[in-house]
Amino acid sequence: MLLLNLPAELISRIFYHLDGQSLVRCRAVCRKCSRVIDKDLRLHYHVTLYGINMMDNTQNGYTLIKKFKLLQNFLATRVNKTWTPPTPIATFPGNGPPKILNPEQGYRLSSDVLTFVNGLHFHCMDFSTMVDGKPYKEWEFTVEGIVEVGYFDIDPTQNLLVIKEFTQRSALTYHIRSLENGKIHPLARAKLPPVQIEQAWDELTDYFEIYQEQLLVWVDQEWDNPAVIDNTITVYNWVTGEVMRTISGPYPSATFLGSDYLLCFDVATGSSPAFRLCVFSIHGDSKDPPVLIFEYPQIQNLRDLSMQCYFQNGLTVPRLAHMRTHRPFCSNPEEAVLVLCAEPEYLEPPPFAGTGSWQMISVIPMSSMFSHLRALQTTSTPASTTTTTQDTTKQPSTKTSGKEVTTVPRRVKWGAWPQYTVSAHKRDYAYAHGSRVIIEQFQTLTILDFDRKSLVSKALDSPTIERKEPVVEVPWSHPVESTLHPRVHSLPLALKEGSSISDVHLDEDTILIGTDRGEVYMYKQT
Amino acid sequence: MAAPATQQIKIRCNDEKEFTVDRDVLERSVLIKNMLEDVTEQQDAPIPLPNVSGPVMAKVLEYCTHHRGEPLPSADTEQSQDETRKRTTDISEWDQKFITVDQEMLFEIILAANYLDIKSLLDVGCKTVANMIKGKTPEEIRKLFNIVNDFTPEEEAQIKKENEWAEDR
Repeated sequence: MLLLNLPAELISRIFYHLDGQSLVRCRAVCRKCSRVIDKDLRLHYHVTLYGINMMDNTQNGYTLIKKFKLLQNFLATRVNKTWTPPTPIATFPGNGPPKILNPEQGYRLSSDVLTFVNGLHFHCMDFSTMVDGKPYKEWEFTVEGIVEVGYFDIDPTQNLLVIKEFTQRSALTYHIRSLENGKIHPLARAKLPPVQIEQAWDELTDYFEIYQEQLLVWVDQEWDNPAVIDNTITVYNWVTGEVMRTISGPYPSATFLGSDYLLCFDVATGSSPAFRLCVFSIHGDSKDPPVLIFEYPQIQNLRDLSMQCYFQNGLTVPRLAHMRTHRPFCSNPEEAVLVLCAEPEYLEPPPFAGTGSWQMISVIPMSSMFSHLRALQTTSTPASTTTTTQDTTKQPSTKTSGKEVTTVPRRVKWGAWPQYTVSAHKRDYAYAHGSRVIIEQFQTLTILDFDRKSLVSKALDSPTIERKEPVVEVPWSHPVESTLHPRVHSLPLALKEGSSISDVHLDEDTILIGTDRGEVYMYKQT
Repeated sequence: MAAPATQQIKIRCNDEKEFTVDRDVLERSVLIKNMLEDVTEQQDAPIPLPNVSGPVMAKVLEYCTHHRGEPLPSADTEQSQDETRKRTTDISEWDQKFITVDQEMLFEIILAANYLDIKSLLDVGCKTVANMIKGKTPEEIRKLFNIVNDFTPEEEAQIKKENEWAEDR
């Protein structure tokens, strides 16, 4: 009786007790040992994790790029019958990723452009197409007139670079720059007024979003206490520097809904525990009441409410109390889906009953929202007369009547939207990329694929609630492994211990994943 | 159904060797426990265990007798295997003495523990082998377990290349 006569499952079991280094050595003993390790997802994960940690810890003089290459070699040669890990195709031409990545800035993936930042130096790579394994376009520049890049985002479709800067720790200043060279954007000659902050910058939840010539900024000074949310949402015209709209109230976040409306959440209304979606007109008076368009009566407990809302048309709302750095740009917002994540505390569906550890992820096609907006705009003439009945203490109607653009009347009925609901664990994050919904579960990605065209046409034809099965458009080469839904893709990733996914970019055949530690992985569909 | 603790059960190994053992000792094995629960009537015929030999069974029974009365590990301990990994060297003194056997017997015990579904014994066995592997080079591991290096030179070079980053401590 020899060690190798034991069945593979028992050898695996023995190997479970080994540390990473011993496992690596066992791989080199014989074919059977190496196969046992390579086929066992857990051992494979353990070895890879160890390897990544080693890359970080060893003083072997390898450059980061050399280490990346070694790791890629390693990953590429794994043999696994049950799961073929996608081969990372990430190659960083030019100078590659900077040696020291500040997790606060580091890099950002926006649309197809991957940007690395080191100090004030920007290095952008356009992965929209790959030419000979290299990004189609690559450029570098250094921004001037700024002490420190606090946070940045880019919109390659508009040649825009937006930088948020902390001015003496008491104000936020926004710089709109050209993505080509980092200089002030030709249109943005007017200076935007700085946003005053009362708190230390690291205790803020703030966010900005740019849509055509508008800049949306919100700053929540009470991010750690959702019960007392008093947020200020401001829309600027970044070309003229003018403040277009300011909204204060229990709205923890906001996002553009086209160029005329803002979509907000209302979480602390006091009278109702429900969590609501509201629409504000950007051109309306600051005293105009919001129009309630949607209500989640299931949300019972506001204290524990955490939610996220993402949708893709260049617009993203990060989840409460956490800034998410993901902002893909989409040519047609109507093809996108809206993702709402909420944690109902008391009402729990059977699979998770009593555990208190699930959240509800709702997917709503944006097309339904836009079709309502279109209906509003065509019937906008009687709208101003209905608003007068809304608020008797103030007189918003006299002011709004003089404007060309009307406010959204509260009376308009928003039909129920086609919706798809998924249950996920509390710590899972979900957001949308176009018609795909991505759920991050620890170090696994789950991709729900909604058929774009049928979902859109369905929404336009019949605005009734309907559970729509997601349709898998692109099969990935590994088997479905998830309890969430039978038709999902799961992509287990071997990330460094303690690091988590912070950025994901998907397109037809590529997944680009960044972590909060600055690692970037690119996978190509096989 | 509650059986008296003194109930004696007969088992027969693949080499015709028979044992008569107290039921609670045998019930350390989840396999036998389930078998006994399925049998409603008293049976005199010995339970056949075609996968275990007499000497190995004697050793397994020694373990079961020593640990009789201890609570069986619950089903969800499977989830805490990461913890198990950390406590690898955690083998009690008695267990360590017990498992100090030749390799042949050690692997037989692991096989038997797996077949009989005695999780704690399986863990002791696996940990013991793991401890033998730890800290050794591939060549030392081959020598220890009498393993032939069946890699082609190309494969070996490839493996070496792959492991380059990890070996370099």
